[in-house]
Amino acid sequence: MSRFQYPTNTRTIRVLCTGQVDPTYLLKAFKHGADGVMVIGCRLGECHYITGNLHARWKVDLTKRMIEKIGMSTERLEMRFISSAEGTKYIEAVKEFTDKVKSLGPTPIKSKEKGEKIKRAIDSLISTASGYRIRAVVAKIQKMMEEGNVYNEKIPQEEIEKIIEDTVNTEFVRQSILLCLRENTSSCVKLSEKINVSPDIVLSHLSHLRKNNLIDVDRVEERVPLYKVL
Amino acid sequence: MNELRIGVFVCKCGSNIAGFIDVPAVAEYAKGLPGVVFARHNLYSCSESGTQTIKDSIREHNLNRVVVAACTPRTHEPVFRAACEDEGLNQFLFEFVNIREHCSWVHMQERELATQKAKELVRMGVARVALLEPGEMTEVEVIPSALVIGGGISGITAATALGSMGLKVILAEREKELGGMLNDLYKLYPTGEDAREFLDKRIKTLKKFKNVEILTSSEIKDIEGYIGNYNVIIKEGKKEKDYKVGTIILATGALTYKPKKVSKGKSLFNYDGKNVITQIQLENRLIKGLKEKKVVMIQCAGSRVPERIYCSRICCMTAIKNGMLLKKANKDAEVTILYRDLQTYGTDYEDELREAKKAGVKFIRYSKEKPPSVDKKKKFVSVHHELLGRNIEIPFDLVVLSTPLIAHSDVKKLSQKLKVPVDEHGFFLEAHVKLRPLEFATDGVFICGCAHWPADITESISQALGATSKAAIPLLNLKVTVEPIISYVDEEKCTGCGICEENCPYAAITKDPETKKAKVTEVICKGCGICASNCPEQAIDIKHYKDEQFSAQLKAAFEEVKT
Amino acid sequence: MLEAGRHPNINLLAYSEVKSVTGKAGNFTVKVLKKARYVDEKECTSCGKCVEKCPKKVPNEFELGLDKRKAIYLYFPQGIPAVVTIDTENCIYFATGKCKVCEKFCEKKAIDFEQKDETITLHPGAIIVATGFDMYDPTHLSQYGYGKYKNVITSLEYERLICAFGPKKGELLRPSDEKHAEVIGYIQCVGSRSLKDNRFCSSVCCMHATKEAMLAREHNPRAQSTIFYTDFRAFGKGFQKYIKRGEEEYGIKYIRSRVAEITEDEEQNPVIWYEDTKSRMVKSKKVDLVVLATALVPRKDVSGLAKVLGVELDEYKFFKTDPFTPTDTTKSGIFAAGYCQAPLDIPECVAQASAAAQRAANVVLLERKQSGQLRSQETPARTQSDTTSS
Repeated sequence: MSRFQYPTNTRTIRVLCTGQVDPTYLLKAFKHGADGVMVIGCRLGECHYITGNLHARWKVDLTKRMIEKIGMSTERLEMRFISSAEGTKYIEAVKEFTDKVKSLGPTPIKSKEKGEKIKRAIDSLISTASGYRIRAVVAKIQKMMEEGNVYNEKIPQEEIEKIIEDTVNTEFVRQSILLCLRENTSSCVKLSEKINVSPDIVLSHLSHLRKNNLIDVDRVEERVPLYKVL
Repeated sequence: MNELRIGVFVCKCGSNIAGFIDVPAVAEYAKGLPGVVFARHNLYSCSESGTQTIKDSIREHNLNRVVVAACTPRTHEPVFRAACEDEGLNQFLFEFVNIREHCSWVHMQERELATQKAKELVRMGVARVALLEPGEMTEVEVIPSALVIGGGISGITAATALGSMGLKVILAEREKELGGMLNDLYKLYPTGEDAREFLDKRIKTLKKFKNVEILTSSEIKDIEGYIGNYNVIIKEGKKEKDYKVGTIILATGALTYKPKKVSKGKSLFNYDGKNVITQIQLENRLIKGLKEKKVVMIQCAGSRVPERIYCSRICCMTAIKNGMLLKKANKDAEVTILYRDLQTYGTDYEDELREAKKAGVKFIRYSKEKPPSVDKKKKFVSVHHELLGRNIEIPFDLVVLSTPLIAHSDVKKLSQKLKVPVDEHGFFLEAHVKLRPLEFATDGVFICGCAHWPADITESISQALGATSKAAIPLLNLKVTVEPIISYVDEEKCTGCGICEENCPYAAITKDPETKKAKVTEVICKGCGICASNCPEQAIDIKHYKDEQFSAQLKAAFEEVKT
Repeated sequence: MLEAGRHPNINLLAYSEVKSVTGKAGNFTVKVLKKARYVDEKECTSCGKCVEKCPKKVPNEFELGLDKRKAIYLYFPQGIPAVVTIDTENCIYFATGKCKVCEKFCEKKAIDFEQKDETITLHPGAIIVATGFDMYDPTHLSQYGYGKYKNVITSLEYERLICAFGPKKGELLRPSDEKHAEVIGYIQCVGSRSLKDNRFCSSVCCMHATKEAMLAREHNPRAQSTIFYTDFRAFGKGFQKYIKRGEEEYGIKYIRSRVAEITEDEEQNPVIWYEDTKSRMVKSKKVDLVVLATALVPRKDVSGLAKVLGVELDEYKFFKTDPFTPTDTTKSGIFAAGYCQAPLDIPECVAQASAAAQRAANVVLLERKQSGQLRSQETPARTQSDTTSS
């Protein structure tokens, strides 16, 4: 019966538990044109499903790092921990977030010049977030935080964050390369220009992808190898 | 798939919704959404006539999906689901859209925008309902018998209570006889009853029940299964036997901490088991009669210290009780209790404390910074007296250390077998500290007594009866019913990496030893989705909350859909 | 609460009083007075329109008078059943015969001024008493100045103030001038552990004070809390860790002391005069707000209920139980759970409630067995929600 008023421009999607929130859902929301995405879970330590919100925290952290890669503000994504009895806290959170997103302006997806490009970038983020390596890393984090690694060493949070960051970097470049090659065969230098990553890094990824039978040399033109997706 | 025939019902809820939203416009808009063959508005969808309209429409328009846009699913979802089922439409093909709490009530001053939002919420609901799949409630049969692990006062109480309800019980105790810690006690507070007599009475009552099987000198070798269907291998003496039970109560109790004896110098307060003993050793000596007159008790001996930060709850009362017993046995006895904070909570304990003071038991507070020291040569305990502001020396014949209760060392083994957690001190960790103190996240296993946390006899009995109550429900119902909102594994994609098993808070997903693939135990899965979002191969999905259903809803949230 | 309200086997009679109990274990006859709400419970959707339109405002007892409610009201927002009630003592229509504004605006036609009190007869096999506690009124303990100084409040009043959906929306505004209270003193054992008032220890207040102090800091990072205690009772699971966190992360100061008196300075700041029992010095501390941890005592009307039930109370007026059959009252078939039988905290109450349920179920099962009614197929199905939601 509280009926506090809040802005009309929010849409709610119900999940049983934030534990199910997958980075791909968050990215899809951005892809379809959300200006901001907020994940709301139970208060920390009070998860109705025991540990769901702890897992969600890392998924949100990961997704933030990902959208940052493509030049979207990380402030467009936020996680809050609010209990179902805290109506006013919810309202405040929604209001604050709406104001913040408003100040950032509409999503770059809607921009005429950059929109399509960003949409494609998000697509490669979605495939990044669907990849085995990144998912395995993020899934292991909660346990690592609780119990340490397989050698029972507790890992400091900064280190864990660095692991996520490195994985995102690597996987994102690889997915971007694959996405480019899917459109056209291309050379290392051209790929480097297209995805704005230095040629030596691109080369190392190319050799990794080749080793894993994901790409191969299509042909060699003027002594420059051109790659294709397998 | 059959052709989609979605019906949308938009509720006015009197003026609760209609007062702030153009409800007919929302219904009209719904008609244009893909798959929608029928849409209308109702004054009160939840009323008798409202649900009748829904039922009639399902029949007349041959609907195979229903969306109701109204209030919160918390109150009326069962009503609408039932209406669908009445017309032969599977209840999981129904979707509830909340346009009251999520829209009309929170946007009272913005009719146009609120109406627009309501339309979009309906659009999202329609997009989702189109992809919903029928589901059936699953029933799992329950073996109507229980296993109680531990035959102390908690286990005896639980087994007796289950037995009196006519249920089959297996009570497994690891020692040669039942009774646990009570075997070592002298007299009980507050009745002054002899512990032995008390115990014998209780065991006699228990043994009256033919349906209770008592196993002593037994060991749990293995436990497999889930609520309703556990297979337990118990070794009794030399023979091993299989037992099938429906639920399990853990009543494994605790131990009293016994300081290490060190040959030279540094044991805790110079503990030696002779002149410096623990409370439980004192109880044992009291049974035989105690000669020593000057007794100094030291509270928090080994507890509320960095390596064991907790308060063991029962030691203050034990000390006061034993101090009183000493005083009663011998008027000239001098009893001094050195304490940090007296935990005489509740009614009777406070009274007992006052009685003890009246009887001449001395209480001296010490701080953790300046703990007492025991000089065995000169036979005095030296302690900083806060009120006097200096050290005083108290002569003693006997020093009694109130040491805490600690968890059994092998508790981890049992916790791994049952897939239930223990806390940092080795006490079993309940599902929710306030609301579910006797349960675990995993259904079917319950906890009581000192295995959960130090508790006195009254508290142990309460908890044992409470755990019995919880454990008996499925046993009396003979079945457990599960909603089909649970995870399922695409075995083709699953690589058996085990990440889901590691992270499931309910121990509901495990790697099948034969197929090496993840397998969901449906009856204990709660559908939280942690396994799905963590699966590196995206091989896991939640029924009724599937990936594609979310994706459709997300798309519809931001994009106009075309028919 | 919601779960109890939805359970198919639970028939909830709110706003009711037990009038008489006869019979014996297995077969009681209970008469319950169901008071008229003047609202049809089946029709009311608690939409709140009537509440909005009702012209009569009275102090809100749920918020301990810290704000107002209407003469037609919902006891509190999450209340079950979610049905409004007309308070006839304050309703204008009942006083003057005119008004009926609520009736006019109710779209469900749920208002019924002709509704009468009803007496319902029930035949339960067993009875569980779970009537809880009252807060002790500290007004007569003049040394604390409650009632005299505006900025001395009880712990329950504090709960309402700091509650996010309470009358001040979670802002800790002190009563005298609505200024943010930053320096807060919590005084323990007010009216408990005292020979003059209540001898017993209320068992929950030490931890409650710590929680209150933590909340103060969460709501306002400048908040400074001091807890004046006798013995710090932190004996439950994880409690020591919790107070350690309070000290280290929330900067709560714990002072072992006896509070002698509270005075007030010219800006209505309470001044706490206390004897530091460690140093034996008399000291004072000026604060913005004082929170009294008042004793939790048996409900004042409990003697009447005990008489109706035919059970005994102990010397403190808690329902008398035996230490080794902790939920059995002095009468067979009647059980007690929770604070009404001894001071307990929430997890203990919950555990004990289950214990009482077991004892009661035993009586009912036995009775059914004797009358040959027990056929397990007939017992209602358990659904998953029984165990998942809480």
